[in-house]
Amino acid sequence: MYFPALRLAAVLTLLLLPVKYTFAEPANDAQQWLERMIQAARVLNYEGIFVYVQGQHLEAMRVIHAGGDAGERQRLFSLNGSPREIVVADNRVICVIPEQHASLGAGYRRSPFPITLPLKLDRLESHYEFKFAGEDRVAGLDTRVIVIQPRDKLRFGYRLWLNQDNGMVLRSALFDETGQMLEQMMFTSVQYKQEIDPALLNPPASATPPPQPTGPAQEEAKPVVEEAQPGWVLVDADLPQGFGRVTHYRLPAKDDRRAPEHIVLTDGLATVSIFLEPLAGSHPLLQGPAQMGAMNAFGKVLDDYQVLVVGEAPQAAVQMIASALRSPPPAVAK
Amino acid sequence: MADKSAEQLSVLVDGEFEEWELEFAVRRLAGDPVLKTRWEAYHLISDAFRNNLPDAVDPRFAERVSALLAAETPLPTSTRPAVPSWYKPVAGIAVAASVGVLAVALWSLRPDELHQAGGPGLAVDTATSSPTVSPLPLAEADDPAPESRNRLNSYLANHNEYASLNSVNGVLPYVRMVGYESGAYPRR
Repeated sequence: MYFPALRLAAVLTLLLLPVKYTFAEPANDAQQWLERMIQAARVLNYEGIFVYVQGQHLEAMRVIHAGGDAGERQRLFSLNGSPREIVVADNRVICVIPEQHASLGAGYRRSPFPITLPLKLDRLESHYEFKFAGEDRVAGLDTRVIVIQPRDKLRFGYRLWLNQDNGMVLRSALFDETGQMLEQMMFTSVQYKQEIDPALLNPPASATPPPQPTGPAQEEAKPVVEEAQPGWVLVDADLPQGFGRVTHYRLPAKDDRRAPEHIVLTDGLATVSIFLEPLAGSHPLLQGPAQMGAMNAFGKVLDDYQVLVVGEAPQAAVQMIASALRSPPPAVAK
Repeated sequence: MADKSAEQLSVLVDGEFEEWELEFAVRRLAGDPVLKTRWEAYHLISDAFRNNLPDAVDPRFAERVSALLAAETPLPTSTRPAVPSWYKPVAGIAVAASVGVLAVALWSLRPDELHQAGGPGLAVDTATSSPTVSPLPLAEADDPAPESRNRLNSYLANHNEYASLNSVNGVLPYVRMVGYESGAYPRR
């Protein structure tokens, strides 16, 4: 028998069902949402206010963000306490504080290489589980909630609220290896713009350059950067599974010291840095474990080098990475 | 002494304290119930003079609000200590950049904090750490603290740059850089 009215009703029913009930969403759809999220960070223009909570500490901040072909540029302002701000533009980071605190300024031996560390989504599946956790509303906008659950105790977990319309992170929470929340941020308002006035992304006039040192130290302004020499070895078998080295370079030398080295490792999501600083008689910066909020660190002295491991990873992972490092054999120049 | 407090309270009510004095005065006021009562009385008098009083005045309003806030269940947070250990709350982030050189001071450290990493609360975990750890004695008092601080800050800034590009929320590493106000954290 043929019932056109019934068939029409069935089709209409399917069409009118809310999407979330129509099809089960496979895990890799969560990855597609993460790809949207990454894209959103690169291209969107917006201004917004968000709150940041870490432990008992609460901050309100304003952000102006511009994406596009010129690269990602953003400016952050603290809205409570002493005024602080940071401008990230043209591969530069500029921090601004009230003048009375400016004396803490120091030469920032910055990474000389263009930074390209895209999220390696395909690598993530082995170490994290991706799940949808429903829908929610943040800053008056509809969001899709995604949970990124680590498969072991050597990395942190995430809960992300992504704007349904464009994938932008409107809220995020970071959890430690025991499931305790370490920090979270949440937009309370956001306005998307066609364009951001470039003047809004300029550092304020008060951000005058610090007095430059005289003499040989001035050479730092044009650092000559060497590729790191081979020598230091990271034993893969001793690293937390999935972590691999993505870059290793020598920072510009300071004074007459030998240049420190910076090794960056990632499991595709978490980033951990190893800094190797020749001590040459100076005091070590850190020995043992340390922590602030989401960042863990472990320091030790190895072969007259300060080894400093820092990252958004559990203390156990940071210590494993420190232990996986072997100093160069005597024949290799350091 | 009481007269001195009354005088200071009067200056506070009139809003004539300098900013640095204000914080001190408010802290003192918050810890002294007698001063608090007097503060409320001064405001009541001031409002009465200005004909600013509502129809009904609840003299225990502030007290009741404080009691309700104290009874609030705290939000669940990590059981880890919120106290920074090796990097301290931002006492300031430095100024600006010239070509090729950035001036960034992140978490500020005092010399005693820098070099007590092997002391209580930061002892090397010998059960889990590498046997190559070489505990060193604490620093002498004349150690150049700003230099050590700058060394550490520049490393953290470099790490944050990479972390910001490999993070699910790229803004967070920068928020961590500027998000801590001086004195916002208790010191350990």
